[in-house]
Amino acid sequence: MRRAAAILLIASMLAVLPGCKDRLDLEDITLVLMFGLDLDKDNKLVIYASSPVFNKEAKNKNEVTQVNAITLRQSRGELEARVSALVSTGKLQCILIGKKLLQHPEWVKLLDVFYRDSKTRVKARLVAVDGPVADIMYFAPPDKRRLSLHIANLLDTAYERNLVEETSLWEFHRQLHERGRTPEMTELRKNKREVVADSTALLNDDGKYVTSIGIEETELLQILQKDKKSDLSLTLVLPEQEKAGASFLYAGSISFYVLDIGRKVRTAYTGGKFRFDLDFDLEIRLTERFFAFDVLHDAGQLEAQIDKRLQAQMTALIAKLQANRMDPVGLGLHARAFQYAAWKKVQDHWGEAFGQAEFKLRVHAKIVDMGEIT
Amino acid sequence: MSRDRLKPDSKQNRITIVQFVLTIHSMQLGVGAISIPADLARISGTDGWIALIMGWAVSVVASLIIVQVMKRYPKGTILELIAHYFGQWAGRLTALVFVVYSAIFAYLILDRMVLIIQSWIMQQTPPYTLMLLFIVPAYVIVKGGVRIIGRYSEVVVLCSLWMPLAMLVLLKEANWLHLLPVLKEGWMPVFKTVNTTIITFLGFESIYYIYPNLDRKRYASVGVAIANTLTLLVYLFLTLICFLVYSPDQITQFNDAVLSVVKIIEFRFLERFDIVMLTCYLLIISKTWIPPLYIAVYCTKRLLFGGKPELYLGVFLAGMVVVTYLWNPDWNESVDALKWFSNFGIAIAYVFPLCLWGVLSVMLKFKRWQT
Repeated sequence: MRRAAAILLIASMLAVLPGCKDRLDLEDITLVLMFGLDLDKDNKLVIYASSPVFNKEAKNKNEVTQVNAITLRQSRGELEARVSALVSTGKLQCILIGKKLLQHPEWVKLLDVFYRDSKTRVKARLVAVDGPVADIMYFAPPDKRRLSLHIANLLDTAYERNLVEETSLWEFHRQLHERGRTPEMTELRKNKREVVADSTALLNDDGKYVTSIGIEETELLQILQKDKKSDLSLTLVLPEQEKAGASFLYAGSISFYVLDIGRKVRTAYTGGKFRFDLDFDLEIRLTERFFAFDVLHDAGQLEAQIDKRLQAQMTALIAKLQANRMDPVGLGLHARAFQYAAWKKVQDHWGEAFGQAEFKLRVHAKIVDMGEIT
Repeated sequence: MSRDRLKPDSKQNRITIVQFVLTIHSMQLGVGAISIPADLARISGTDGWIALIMGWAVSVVASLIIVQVMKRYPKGTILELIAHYFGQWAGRLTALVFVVYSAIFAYLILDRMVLIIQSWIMQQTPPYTLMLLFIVPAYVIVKGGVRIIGRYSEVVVLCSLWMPLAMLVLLKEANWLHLLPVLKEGWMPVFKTVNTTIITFLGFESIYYIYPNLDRKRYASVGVAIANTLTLLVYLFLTLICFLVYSPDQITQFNDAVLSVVKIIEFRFLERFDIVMLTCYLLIISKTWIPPLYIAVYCTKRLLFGGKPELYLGVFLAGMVVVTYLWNPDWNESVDALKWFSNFGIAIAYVFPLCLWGVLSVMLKFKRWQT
């Protein structure tokens, strides 16, 4: 009798389990790998979605759809009315955002769904697009794999080589809500033949697009941030070594790997201004040199020339950031950590205080390896 | 379960000191761990971790007092102790209070656990369906008595040792500047946070019921200190990881800060690591509400002069599902209920032993009560 009751109980509990309504078959999912957000010519929001098609009969292996929508979540319904199956953002790779949209600081509100709905992948990369987003979304180069995956890989590898900054959804949330720094993200553009990731978009405190920096400046920015990934290769033209020659050739060129970055930041607050002493110790390994030089005996002289050049370039970059009232380096964190009383007064408009801060920058390169030939 | 299973000092119910420590630790570490970093940050910013150490000190003192009280009558639980010194009716009243306390404790934690699953994994599934999944294992474990609960805690702790290691991956996102300056606004905000932290250490009141089962009682004081310290270490670890990874202004926006941060752990072969973590974390939460369920059953049996414990257990478990089916508390109600309940907990775990200890110390000064 008791056993019968137990079996009956277990059976009735099993009967309730199909009440689990979250079951979703893989065939019924459209995995959105890339979203695009842009404004059309009437300044209305357009959402693009790119997803792979796993079907032998389909000729194109990628499905791109565009809808007008009020919010991203509302666009899901519109998209589902068009794409093959149910939209899922669990494998999202990239979110492309048109520069036209980035000019409005309110755009960051659109991302709310990604942080609130626990089903989104928060490591998806945020990318600014120079030019119409549609050009990239509908682009299908014959010599590349699916564009969404190609772009993801392109960004990762470019970031690995320190050519661009890469910002995931999660990282962006952190940067945006950190009062001591301003956000940044990769910037893509499309030329006739390919998609190019060769600049970094810098945003202000509210998330509004302000300006972009190129590869060289991004590399320097990463030195300033002490955020070196793998190979960081710099090429400089030393004015001391320049000679008149062929027009295409800069005789003063020298390239090197930065193997290790040592950064010291000293933060002071005097006379109503922050003051940052930045000291960089770089270990470098020469990889290319166009001019004759006796590195064995006169390394110090070459190091001094490199220091001077790097220092000038980094100072110029800081001046550019200051002029735009943006601090992607995150020096505000140092201000908060070491000058808290002064920081509290300016914490809500750190960009302004950063713009007025004084900088003293020193670079000490040390050649640890001249390469295989002298 | 046989009658003996509920007899605290019967031989087959003895637990080792490790089981004693881990059972207390298990009941302390539960749903709170997921939200505590953000809760602390909302009150005292990145200095909140200091309050954890203070909360730990308070809970160690309270646990030691409970052990001192229990030493007065080592053969029985708090119910037998009260009945012995204050009479049967006082014992029955205590049993009633503990039935209510433990049943609410078990229910609120189980319900929160189900809400977490619903919110993170199965958004469209009703909570009572999810609750059904945990009824059978809970029944089997509680039926086994204190020793089985102790062993279950051991197994689960061993099985979850990898989780902190996996979370160490997050240190590559860490920024130690977030913690500076220490005590940025002075001590006041930290003191204000202590109230929140002592609630998170609730659970050591299980000593009331598992002390008589402990094999070697002279280690009891060391045991409760170790249990509290273990809990402190886990909380400190989670809190510091979150403070280092989240920016100070960002962390306050998250409800389940620990789960949200685990989302960014990704391996080449595995994404959505938070789901894996959460699923394994369910085991840890389960050992938070299973001991109070046992306590509720134990007290009910005392209250109703015996009867079949399995029946009470079944009624409690079925009752939980029915309550969820009828009431279906949402997140806000769950948060409010736990907040209300924590006052109850402070009374039971911090105030009650202190008063009892004071009364007993005075009483035992007189000859006539010294038996």
